[in-house]
Amino acid sequence: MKRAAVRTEPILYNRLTVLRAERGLSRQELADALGVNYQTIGYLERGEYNPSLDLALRAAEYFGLPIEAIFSRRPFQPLSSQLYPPRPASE
Amino acid sequence: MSTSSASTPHRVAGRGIDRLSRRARRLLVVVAYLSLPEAVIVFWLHGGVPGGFSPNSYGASSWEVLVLAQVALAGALLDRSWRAGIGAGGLDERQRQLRDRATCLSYRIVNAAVVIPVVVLWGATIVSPFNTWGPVTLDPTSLIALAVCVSVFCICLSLLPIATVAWLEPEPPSEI
Repeated sequence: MKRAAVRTEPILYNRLTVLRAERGLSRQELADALGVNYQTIGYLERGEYNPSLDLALRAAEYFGLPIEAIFSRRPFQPLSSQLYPPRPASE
Repeated sequence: MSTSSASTPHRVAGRGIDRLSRRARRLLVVVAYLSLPEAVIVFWLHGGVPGGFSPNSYGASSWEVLVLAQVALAGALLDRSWRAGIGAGGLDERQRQLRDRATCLSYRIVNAAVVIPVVVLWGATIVSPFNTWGPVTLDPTSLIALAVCVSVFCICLSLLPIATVAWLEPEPPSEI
């Protein structure tokens, strides 16, 4: 049986995978742009590493988005449900 | 938005080795640190301890080479694996964090590795079966075995932070 890794720091959710896919970037290309190792991007996407404020700001600047659109302490809602919120049943 | 994908020669040379699976890295750590008890056994077989096994019947001299080669090879691979992941700009913030954590853990391991043997040696000097060894004499062959023991210990000690990083780092993601 596999043992679950003990995590001491809070999970920081992010949309890096979606944003990277939208722009057709590889991990290496994004890593080069942000000045980190490509594995760091992978760990960020998998939620196994929380970025520093500096790295989070660099990512926000690179994608041209506010930081809260990329990183959140709560799980993100799917983009489809944000763009097209469910209509009230009376309509 | 810039998407530079040009790979430096350093990075290309390091491909593969920096992507060793966690299992492979941990296996290398185990192989490297197995050399410590092996070196002690070789020292024992070589007559380093009075009353130990006969040195010649076990071919201990070839074992010494094997033990040294084992720790050197495993250590070199671990070292190469760590260095291959370092970009042209040096360590990034995650790697620095991991290195600091590994260094901190290494000091704890060294503390335990020093305190425990000292207590064991102190115990061995007062427990009667070990107290009947008598004087220890070192002939040239035993000196070689002792030198191997000390060399392996030094290599393992210097390897400790890198081995700790290799042990701690999660499964590497792919590049794509």
